[in-house]
Amino acid sequence: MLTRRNFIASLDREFLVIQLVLPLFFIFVAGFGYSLIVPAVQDVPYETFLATGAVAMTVMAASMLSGTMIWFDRNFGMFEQILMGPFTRAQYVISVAFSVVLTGLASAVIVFLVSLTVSSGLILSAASLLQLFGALILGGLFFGGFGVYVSLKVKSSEALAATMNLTFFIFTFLSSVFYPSNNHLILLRVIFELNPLTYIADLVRNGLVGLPGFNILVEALVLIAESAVMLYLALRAVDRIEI
Amino acid sequence: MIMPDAVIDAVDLTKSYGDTLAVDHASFTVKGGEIFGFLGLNGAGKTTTIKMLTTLIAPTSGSAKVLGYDISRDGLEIRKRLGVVQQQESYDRNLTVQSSLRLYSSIWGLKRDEASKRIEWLYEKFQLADTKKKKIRWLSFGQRRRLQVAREFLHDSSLLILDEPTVGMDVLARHIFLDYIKERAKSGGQTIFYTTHIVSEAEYLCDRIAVIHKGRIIALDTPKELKKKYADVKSVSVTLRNSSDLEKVSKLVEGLGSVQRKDTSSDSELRLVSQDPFRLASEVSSLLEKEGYDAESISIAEPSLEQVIVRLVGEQERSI
Repeated sequence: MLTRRNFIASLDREFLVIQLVLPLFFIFVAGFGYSLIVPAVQDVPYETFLATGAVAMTVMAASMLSGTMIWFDRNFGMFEQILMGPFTRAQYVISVAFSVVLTGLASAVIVFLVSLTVSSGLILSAASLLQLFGALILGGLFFGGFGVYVSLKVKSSEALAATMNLTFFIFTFLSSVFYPSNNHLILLRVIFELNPLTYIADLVRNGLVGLPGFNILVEALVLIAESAVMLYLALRAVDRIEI
Repeated sequence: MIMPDAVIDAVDLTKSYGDTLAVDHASFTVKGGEIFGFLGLNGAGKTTTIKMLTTLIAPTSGSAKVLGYDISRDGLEIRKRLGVVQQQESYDRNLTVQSSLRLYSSIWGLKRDEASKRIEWLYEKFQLADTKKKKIRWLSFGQRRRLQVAREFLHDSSLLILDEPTVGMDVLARHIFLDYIKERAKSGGQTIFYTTHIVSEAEYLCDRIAVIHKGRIIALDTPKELKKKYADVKSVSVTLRNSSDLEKVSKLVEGLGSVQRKDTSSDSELRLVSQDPFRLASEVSSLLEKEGYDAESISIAEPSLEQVIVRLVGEQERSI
């Protein structure tokens, strides 16, 4: 019910369109440009490598939604009103994260379908789609929780936008969205390995094109753990917020 | 559900923010079906008390039961049975009035047909029919306030908590709303916890009133008893035909020994407080006639609840 309310009351159609622009830009502009320098990565054509990364990135872009949902609820008094309603705080946080999951999934499917025009050698099977959707759902939960957490910690809409943009930038460029995580300095590799977007991108990519020596179980477990921790932090932030 | 005798039972309810005591050992009970007024100046602790009762914030110490449930343990059970109009605005800016009420009715689990009936009725009761297709963000402050209040009448709450609900309402809307609240409590048996700083509203509505000042409850009784205890002195109201005489008359009556206190409540009205207002009225009448001043009326004014609040708060301030 709360998720339905989030969609009816808070979902902005312009946001839905705009959040698709960046991944599509990467696929059609950066992908073509970089493929002239880097023809293939891990035996995957670069356009396909980047397109699968862009699909993973879409779910992160959708998490801006959770930040703005909470922010507007707080600004227009609905945050308190909902917390005084027939719900638990956990239900509220999960409803917001779930809204991100659904928006992220819908957006990622659009990006995925569009990316089919530039990708080659994609494996489309039940197992690959399971990996794709599993990674996107877990990613949506992580970034949904992240958006909730940030929006409860910042004091202004400007700070929210700046924080989300900066962290998206860090998440994106310190992940395997654009390039593989090996062959980096040790410190950067550690950050890559901690970054949930790396696991989302890897799982999506492995599902759709297959990566050599890829351990699905380990990658999925790390992503599950990170999503659980992020949701817990978001819940704790809602529990502790001074109203 | 069987309604407990005390719908709210607060014992030493306390909330502090660092060194600041927002609510200081507040103890009170609210009985089923009663309209309980919670009066105080701005920042007295009214909203903080409401936030604790609605389980939005936890008390620092003390306890309270709402509808028989403990506010520290049974938050969800309490919230399922509450209607709350916050002092601050709360609305979904992108929705229309109609979609907002529809959404809210589904949140509270109302069936579609029942929701439609209630929504139509609320449009009429809260003069929202003309605005139902409008987006909430384009409504006036008063219209948004009426919607916010109307929303809480969609579901059948056992306890309705209203935090300064009439702020922003025009005279007519306010009048209709106050009558409706009274009717809900008297015929529907709904318990209402009502905070306001408009004393006349509380006097009109409330069965009992608690006065809170700097976080402490300094008086609690029926309006009649409060007036009897704290404003037992009636005053004499003198309205002059010529307002330019007011200053001279004000000086003149100082010579009358029975005047304890005087103040001017308008350009031409003088209020005189005395232990024996009837004698004073007679003395003033004779004096004005003798000195050649023309009085439009001389009357004995009943003590007001406003006087009670002023006196109570004044006494508290002096005792600090």
